Amino acid sequence: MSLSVAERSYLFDSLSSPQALRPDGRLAHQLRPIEVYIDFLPSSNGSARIIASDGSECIISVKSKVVDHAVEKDLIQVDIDIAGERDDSLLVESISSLFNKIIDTIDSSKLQLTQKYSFKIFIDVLVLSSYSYPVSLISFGIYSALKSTYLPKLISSFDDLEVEELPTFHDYDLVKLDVSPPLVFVLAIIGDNIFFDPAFNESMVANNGLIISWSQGKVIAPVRTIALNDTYVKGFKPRLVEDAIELVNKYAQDIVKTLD
Amino acid sequence: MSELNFELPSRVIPGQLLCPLYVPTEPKVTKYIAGPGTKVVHYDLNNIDVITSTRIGNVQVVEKDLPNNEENEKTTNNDMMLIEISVINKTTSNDSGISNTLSKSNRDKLLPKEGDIVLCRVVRISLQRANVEIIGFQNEPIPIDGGVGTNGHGVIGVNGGSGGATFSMSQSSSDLGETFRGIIRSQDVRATERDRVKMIECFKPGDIVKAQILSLGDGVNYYLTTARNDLGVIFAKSNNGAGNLMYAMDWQTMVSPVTGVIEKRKCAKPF
Amino acid sequence: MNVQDRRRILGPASAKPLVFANSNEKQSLSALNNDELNFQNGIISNSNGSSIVENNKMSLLTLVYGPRSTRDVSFQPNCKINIIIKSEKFETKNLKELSQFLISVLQCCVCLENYPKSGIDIFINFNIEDEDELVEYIPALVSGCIIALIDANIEITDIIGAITLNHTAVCLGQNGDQLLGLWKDPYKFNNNESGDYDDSIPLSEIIKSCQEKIIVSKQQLIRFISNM
Repeated sequence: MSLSVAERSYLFDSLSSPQALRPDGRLAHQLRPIEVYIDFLPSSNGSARIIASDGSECIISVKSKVVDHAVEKDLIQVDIDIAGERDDSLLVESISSLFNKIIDTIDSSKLQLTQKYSFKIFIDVLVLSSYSYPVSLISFGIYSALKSTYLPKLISSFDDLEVEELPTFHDYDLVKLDVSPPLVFVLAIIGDNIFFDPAFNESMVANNGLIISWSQGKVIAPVRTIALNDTYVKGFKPRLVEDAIELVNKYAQDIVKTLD
Repeated sequence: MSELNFELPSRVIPGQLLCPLYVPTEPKVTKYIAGPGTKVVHYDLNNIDVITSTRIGNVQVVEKDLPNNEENEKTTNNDMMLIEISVINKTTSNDSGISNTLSKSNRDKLLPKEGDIVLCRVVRISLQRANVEIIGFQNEPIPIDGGVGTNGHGVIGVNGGSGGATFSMSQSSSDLGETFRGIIRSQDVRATERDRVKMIECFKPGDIVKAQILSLGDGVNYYLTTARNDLGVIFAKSNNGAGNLMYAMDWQTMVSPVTGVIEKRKCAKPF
Repeated sequence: MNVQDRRRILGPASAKPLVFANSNEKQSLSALNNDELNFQNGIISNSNGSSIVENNKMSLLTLVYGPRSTRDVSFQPNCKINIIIKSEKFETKNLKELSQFLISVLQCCVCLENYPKSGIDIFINFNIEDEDELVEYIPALVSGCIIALIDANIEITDIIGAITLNHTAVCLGQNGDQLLGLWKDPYKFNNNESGDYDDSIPLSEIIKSCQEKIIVSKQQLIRFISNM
């Protein structure tokens, strides 16, 4: 899929003008409608399937394992697969590096089972189809999946340093995992305008892109700029970063509410 | 009106501002056009378009004639002076042809472009076209790897042959598949009887051909032509490359001086 | 003192003992203070352009190959940039993310439209002893790429200045008026070496102070490029 020079020039002009008009009529801060289905994989601890209105689709599964947390430091691990991309491609590796950094910011003390053992969470992401930079979609998916994750309930004692024992679990009772995963927003900068969640055609004319992570009421690291295409990329006014962060702070809460 | 107080720098580095697009000089307004080595860039701070240098070199200023079709010009052309500004590399290659050392400073050309005369090697022929790989430019040193082969960084002048000495060639690594590819279509082989060309009587795989670039072509191939007297096969070996080097007898036959074998080629005019 | 040694051929009466200048190694080490970067260009003879950026903590070799032909089937009016960073100290995943970031930054300044149907390959070799966070190397990486690109005679519209402040790398163009790249990582608390991290400083403040410093920090790079 590619756009002609004329199409791109038309899009750029309409998106960079002071009264910007998005091709799908959205407001600058409006996201495309998404559908989320949770808990659809019976064999995972938590799962989510997220579909964007342009047909981009992503499935996420959360699985767990009991580990000795003195040995395993990283208690959450993200693995990303994108259909049609090699596992070692720049896109896949950089998105997975980004998400592992984002996931690191989650407070992993919630995963602790006993003095010695913790749950280790494996998040497997499969992007079935994507037409724009899939980072936002993946992060919403991970959010929904982790929010719907239930882990086995511990019935052995918490203090296992004195008495050696492996943790034992209740046969069917599960405990909801209580974490607040960060959300990641992709913003396109076109001219002096900022747009949330750029669609494919908007990405093609974006001067630059911003990846902003947000968690519990404030913007957190990582924050990145990213080129969304290879024809229109150029610098932008530094104050736009401030505006973008403000926008995210203003609307992220509503998005979280919707996802919950 | 106070004259804009600016002076063009003589030696510049990339990113250095040269001048705005329009300068209100005294009798006429000067309009600058961005020539080679420069680019028009929009500066947000003052919200103006300026010409900026894109390489290290010396600034060269050439006055241009005004274009004749004046309908689309807003200002009346009598009030305007057109100046092309460009940045020339530190030591431009002199007219005497190629310099023997491929010093980095005098390389200007990085890519084949329309109108260039290039040397290429025939890779494959079919009824409709000959596939070639580009191995050198005329009168231009090629970059050390520059798409016309990696590893070889020596410049080897082609001895003898028609104008061969003005070529620089890399010992291209065609087996690595890193050369630029070209196509000579059957209708671009010669200027006359274009529809009766038999490719097998014009080129054979392995021949070295001097050709001109018609267009950038498609994703993979440049489109080349040999439809000129001085273009065509320069070097060819007889018996599909098994025999000796042949000499051109006329524009469509070559002969091997050792065995006397005569083969058909579309030859370049040797002298 | 006046006894002449007959077993040796003596030099003229006015001879002085040889005094060697300090060896190069020592000199260059003392000449380098912590932040000062040293530049060199055109070292590798079979690449189109190359550069070395080093200080006493690291050495960075950047090689530029191309523009050379790509094997894209469709016609590409613009050149593609590809960056591969090699280092033993960091995870490949993280290096790839960084190279994608660098590609984004360089796309802002390389005249891509001048090189249709082709690709520029940039290889960066990291040579470091003390592992710092990746973000601390971004200024050196950007400078290395810029010098190597100029060395390869590839046209660029700007000399990008990059500064890392408070664990945030900011790449600026047009003398600081344009933001070309921004990279902020979550801070790892176990790294005690760089304890000057302050989470409370908002991003906009960091960018502002980078804008103020950019002209000064670019001076050395510009001086080097002017003499290339």
